[in-house]
Amino acid sequence: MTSSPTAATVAYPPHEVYVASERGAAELRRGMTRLSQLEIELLVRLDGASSLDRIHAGMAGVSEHDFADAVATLRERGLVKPAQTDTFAARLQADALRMAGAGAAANADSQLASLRAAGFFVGIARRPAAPRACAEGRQLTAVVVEDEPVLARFIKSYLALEGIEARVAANRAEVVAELRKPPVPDVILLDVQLPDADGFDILQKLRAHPAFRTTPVIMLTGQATRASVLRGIAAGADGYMTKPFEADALVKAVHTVLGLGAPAASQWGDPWVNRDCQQGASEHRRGWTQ
Amino acid sequence: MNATQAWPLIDDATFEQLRRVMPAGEFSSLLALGMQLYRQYCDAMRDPQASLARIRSEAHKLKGSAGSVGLTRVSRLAAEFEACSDPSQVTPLVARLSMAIDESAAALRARGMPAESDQTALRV
Repeated sequence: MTSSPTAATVAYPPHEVYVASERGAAELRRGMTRLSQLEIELLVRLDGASSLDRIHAGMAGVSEHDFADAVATLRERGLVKPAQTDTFAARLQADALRMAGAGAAANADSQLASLRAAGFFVGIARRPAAPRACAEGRQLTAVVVEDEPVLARFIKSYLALEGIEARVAANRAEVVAELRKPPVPDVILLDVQLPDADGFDILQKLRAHPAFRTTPVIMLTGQATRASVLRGIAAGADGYMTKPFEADALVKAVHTVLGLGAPAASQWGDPWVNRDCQQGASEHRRGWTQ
Repeated sequence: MNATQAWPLIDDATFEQLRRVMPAGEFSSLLALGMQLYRQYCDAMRDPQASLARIRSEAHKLKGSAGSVGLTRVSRLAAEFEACSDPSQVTPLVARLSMAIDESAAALRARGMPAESDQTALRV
């Protein structure tokens, strides 16, 4: 039984602390997921320290019912597991905070610290609800917003191997110029830290623009924190990849958000899990593209 | 062995994969461009006028770029640098980073990659 006021619909223990299981962590890294936005957000927020009720309290506008459904889905799919917490130490800490009269504030602080902690590496890409329509016979195009020349060239070359023509933009003016050029890109890869612009602001503008409202956007950034991932997903990004990234995972993510079949690499296995398979995929792809 | 040396200079799996998949010459040209630019980022970090924010921004670029093309040690050091909030650590960190770039260049040459400056490679 739970203590929630809507206990009839709640199927999770509110004070339990969960963390992503190995499978859950892989789900956030493999460049292909069928999880909903809410399920992704919940999985990202599970830090092994915050209880479910505290996490729910931090998710504005999410009903108890939807939250419970998301918890149930993640549990059923084995994407989460109870955190191994030191209950004695946790109780001591809670008592100390209570005695200091700072319990709620300290809880909020610790959750904030967890959200901002660096080192949260992901490769998230969501499949579209329905396959995206591309003009028949036209080459797929991408706009790559990236100011670091080596990475920009690397991404452009790698996408070319997949038959995707990339246009690169390194600053605000170039972003505007490239987005104005026809055709409207089939996918946008978006860095966050640009010399004179912020990728999250660009994403917001894209989602407000009729021509780009539904264009798949993958954030490709060195900002590896839970908070940044959540910000990108909440703002409407279809994917979020942290740098450094593996090229095969990026290609897989692009295929995923476009609703295309799996790229050559994934026919050989998950590049984040099995490097031997990844090398096999490389050989396979070389024969396929030349 | 210190912590820096514990990181491999090059991630073999990534390196071999990119060498196999990318068009002939493109990968080596990319690495040549990388080594040239990574040294420039280091020079920018050494600039006594550079703010800590600017230095961390250079480290941020270096982390993502070097790591994605398989230069693990440079990337990991850059990540350490990016997290640095102590100005007194800048000089020793730049020295370690610079050494890692030189060692990576040598390792690339040993693998037959021309990790030297190439002005023509600067075109994206």
